[in-house]
Amino acid sequence: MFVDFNLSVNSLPKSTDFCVVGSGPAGMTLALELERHGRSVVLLEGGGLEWSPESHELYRGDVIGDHYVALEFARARLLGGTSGHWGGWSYQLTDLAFKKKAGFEDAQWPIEKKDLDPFLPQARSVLDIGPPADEVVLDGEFGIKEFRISYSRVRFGQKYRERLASSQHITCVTNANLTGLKTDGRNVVAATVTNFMGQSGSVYAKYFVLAMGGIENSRMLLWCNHQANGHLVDSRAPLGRYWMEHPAYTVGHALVDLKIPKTEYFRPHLLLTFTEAVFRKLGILECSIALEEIPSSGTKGLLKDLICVAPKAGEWAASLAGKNIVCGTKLIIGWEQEPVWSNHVKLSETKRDRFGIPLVELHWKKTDRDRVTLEKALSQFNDFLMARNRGRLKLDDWVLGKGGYPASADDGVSYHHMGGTRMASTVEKGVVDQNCRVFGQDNLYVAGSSVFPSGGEANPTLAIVQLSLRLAEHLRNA
Amino acid sequence: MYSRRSFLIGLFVLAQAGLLFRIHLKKSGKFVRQGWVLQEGDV
Repeated sequence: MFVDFNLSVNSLPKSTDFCVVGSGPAGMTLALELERHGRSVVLLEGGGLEWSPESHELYRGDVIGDHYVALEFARARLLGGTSGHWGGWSYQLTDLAFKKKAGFEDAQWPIEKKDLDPFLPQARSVLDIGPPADEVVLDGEFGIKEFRISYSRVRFGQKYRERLASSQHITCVTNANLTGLKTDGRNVVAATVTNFMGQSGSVYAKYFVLAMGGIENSRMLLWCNHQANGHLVDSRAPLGRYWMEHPAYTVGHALVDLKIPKTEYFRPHLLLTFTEAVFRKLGILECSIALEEIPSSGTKGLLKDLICVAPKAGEWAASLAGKNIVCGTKLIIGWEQEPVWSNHVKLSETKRDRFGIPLVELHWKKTDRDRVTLEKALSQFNDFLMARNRGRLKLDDWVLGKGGYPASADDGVSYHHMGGTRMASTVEKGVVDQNCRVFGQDNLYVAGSSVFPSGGEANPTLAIVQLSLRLAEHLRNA
Repeated sequence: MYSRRSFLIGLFVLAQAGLLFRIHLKKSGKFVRQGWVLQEGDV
């Protein structure tokens, strides 16, 4: 059932098994799975059933460092969370994402891919997707792989609204903004929620799970820990630290003799990556290369340009174009950002929201090794194209220049917010343990991509859903 | 032997200037002309 906390401040359930804060893919999946096993859940959503300006403005914040989009537009604060405007690209984290990588000591999970694999079929069902086509190794020597993704059209707030409304075990409370957590030192006793009129109430539960998103999980834990005089989260934990994105840039264009597959919802594009052996040989983190087909007028323009600059290469490309083989594409590279301590979520010292909670201050910069990942990936891909005579690249000026990265619109931004409450075996390295339990409390958990210790190359939502299903299993047996 | 700090500073200089990619091209007999990455025989 639904309760609008703006309208009925006295109708919070007296007690429940689980209090889940946040109704995005992480929180909604968890709540529905617990319900399926007969557990009672209070699902708190800070926003309403629809978008509202007063909820939206709570996501404001500052970014210190590299260019980024306004934080209130990088996520959605309503039932279903940011799935309200996501792209739906769904892909599994690779084996390598979880493993130890030489030189990247902090880019490692305390669990393995096989720990999430059992939850993959159900996660796909939640997202209404099937398995993608198998990966194809295009070239063994260069370690180039083609991979496919699945496209989910699920908006959690729409797809699961009726199920929530008719649920006997889930009480979904909208316009209920978490403003505090009360702890007795070992256990969270109650969550304080406040509506947009400033009225507050408490939710009492056996277990509490924060599923508020890749920035808010850190912000609210920092705030609640501050309120609790540091007695909520173990003081050794790197709370808010190791925040990550998937930097992604258009680096130029290409004329390629490669088949660009049609896709269901997007412009035809070919997705490429490297084998684990190549990533290890290059000493870089994971990355993906997208070749996005451009209109035929663009291909003709590239051909003319190449013929002027390099007549023989141009002749080769033109002869293939006559057979409809060559294709002009935009060249986009995205990569796994190195997790570093200095990238972090912090509470603003000067700005507060309507509830008196400090706004977020996100400190985020790409590292030199991030740039190395970009350049080595580009080199490897170019070597493949030239050695096999499969194409030529035309790079944008910034790639070879000294001006750093382009910085306008959503350049470099994938809207993937990861880290901040990272998972680790020890408190010195993480905020949550292998079961997503917060170090310092026995009954407080975190769900979502904020627990990722490293981001791999995959869009995070499928892994978020897998992790929530795994957490549900753990909590059912707790 | 380089220290880790020297190594990282070196990496910084190379990466910031887009030099890693340029050095790789030079070593492998490739070059850039008006943005196009080319090799001997292309022109």
